[in-house]
Amino acid sequence: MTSILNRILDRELKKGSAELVILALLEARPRHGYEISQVIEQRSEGAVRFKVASLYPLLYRLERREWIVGQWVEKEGQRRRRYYRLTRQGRRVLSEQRRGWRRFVAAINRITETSHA
Amino acid sequence: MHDWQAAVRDHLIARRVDPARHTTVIEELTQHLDDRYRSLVARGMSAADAERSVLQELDESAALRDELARAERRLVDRPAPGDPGGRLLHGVWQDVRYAARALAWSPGFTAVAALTLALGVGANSAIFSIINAVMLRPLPYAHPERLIRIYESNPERGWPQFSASHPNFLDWRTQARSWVALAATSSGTVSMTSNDGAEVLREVLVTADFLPALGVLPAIGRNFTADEDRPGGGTRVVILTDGFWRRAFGGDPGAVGRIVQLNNLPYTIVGILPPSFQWGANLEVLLPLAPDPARPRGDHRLSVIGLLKPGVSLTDARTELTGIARRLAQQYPADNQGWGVSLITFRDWMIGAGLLLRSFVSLQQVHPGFAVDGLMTGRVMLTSRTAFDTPEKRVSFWRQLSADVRALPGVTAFATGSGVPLTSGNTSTEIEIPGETLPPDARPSADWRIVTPGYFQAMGIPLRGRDFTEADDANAPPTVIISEALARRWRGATSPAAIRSAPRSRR
Repeated sequence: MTSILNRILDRELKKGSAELVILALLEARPRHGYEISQVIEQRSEGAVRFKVASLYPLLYRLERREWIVGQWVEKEGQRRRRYYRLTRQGRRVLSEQRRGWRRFVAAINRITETSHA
Repeated sequence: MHDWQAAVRDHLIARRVDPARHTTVIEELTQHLDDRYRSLVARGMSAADAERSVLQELDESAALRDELARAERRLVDRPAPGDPGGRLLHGVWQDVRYAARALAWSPGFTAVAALTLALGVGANSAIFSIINAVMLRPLPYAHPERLIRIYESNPERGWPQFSASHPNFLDWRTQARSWVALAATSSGTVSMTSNDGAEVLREVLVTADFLPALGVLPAIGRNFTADEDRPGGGTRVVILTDGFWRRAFGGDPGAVGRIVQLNNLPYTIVGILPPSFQWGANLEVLLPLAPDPARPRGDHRLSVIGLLKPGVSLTDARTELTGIARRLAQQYPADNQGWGVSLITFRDWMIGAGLLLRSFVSLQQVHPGFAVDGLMTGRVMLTSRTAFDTPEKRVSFWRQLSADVRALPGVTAFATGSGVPLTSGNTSTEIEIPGETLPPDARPSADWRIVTPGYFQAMGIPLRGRDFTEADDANAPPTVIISEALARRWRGATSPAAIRSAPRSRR
């Protein structure tokens, strides 16, 4: 029973933070889909993994909202890849989401801290 | 090796996806799976296990399929044609009657709504007349629908539309077949000296096919010849705009053939443009560009326009030029790697400019970051070939100028710089932060300017740390002052002095 709950919680947490993660990774420089999934896996030391089936719908959704824009780029000697980068609106959303996330985490921490009477 | 494409197609794509999107999505997902497979095999997994692991990624496919279907439904679903019109109109009329009754119930609201509408209509007509004058009137060129603006493009570095370099432009011209003409321009200023003194004129350097591409003929005289438009050719010729001709020569047709001193060299006036000619703001003279293949390929400074051949589509021209750019990137990887092209019609471009009108209004409210009151700017050009031919002579001039201006009554501060804020033509350089080693093409870049001591005081820009002094000369260690924005980005830098500019790269 607990493992099912854990899985549901994990999924909900991931859903809530997924957009923030993508936007934040594109802040520094444009990246393509596979690169994004790799960086996430490496930086989280395997704790968070975005599979193809969840990553690309998210990218396309962000693209529809015009928070990111994708562009095919062909580099010498390689086949072309679709690179994504933040739009100006995307940057604004990123900073709002970051703030929101920090406040949320801080609030949860405050609520769940054990207090000694 | 597994055929990922088939797997992706089988597992993922919903039936009603727009076919064009279909292909690019498959391509993107296929690449991802292939990358994943290769990385697993590289880590030592067997081919069979790697294949199985990758295919498992597709298992949660329902989510992707639904998402794609939702994404595409917006493109595909449209009201079916052949709706019984009578039923539709009846519904609309019912809504109108209901709305009229609702408005009658609240006269106050109705009054405000009517007034708002009236103001809106009024404002719209005002805006329309501006837009009509600026954009919708036909462009004063022959064949405006075939005029294309061509940029070099480096999307990876965040430069979708960039200037072109001389050698790249010339190679496009030699190799591309889709164009009646490929012309280049570069704007700047030139100093005209006469008995009345010196005057700075707004000039644009143009190739000989520029005016023909626009379908513009000089009203008097002639255009530049091909021989006048090459390095080492008879380039000391000039064409005047109508406005400048009337102002400086009183509209005298005998001006053609006369000599004027530009940058202390004699130039012959060969043509006068018609009053209808428009290019840039307050343009005064045209000079030959003389595109030079010996210039650095990485020095991007040209604006390029093309006149499409009749019957050639923009798409075909774009494909051809992209192919040429790719070949050039292979031939000259140091300069051209990562650089493609971007083509946009003059019309779309004007529409883009129209959207800027909206931003312009809001920009009026933005504080520019420096004190504007009492601030005056000017341009000084040292054009004599002998008086300022060494750095020492130039430094001596600037020191003297500074002393003389500071001595003028009413002057509280004076400084010189390579440019003033809010003007175009910034140069950027790559910067390097100690402790952050990034590959050459991922380094951040920053716009730079050269200023003399006292600049920040004159501009009313607050400083932390110290200003430049006379001691920061060619013999002292190089120093730099950075903006607050840059300092904030590199929080790891311990002090403003910790940031270094990367060695000047060829680009």
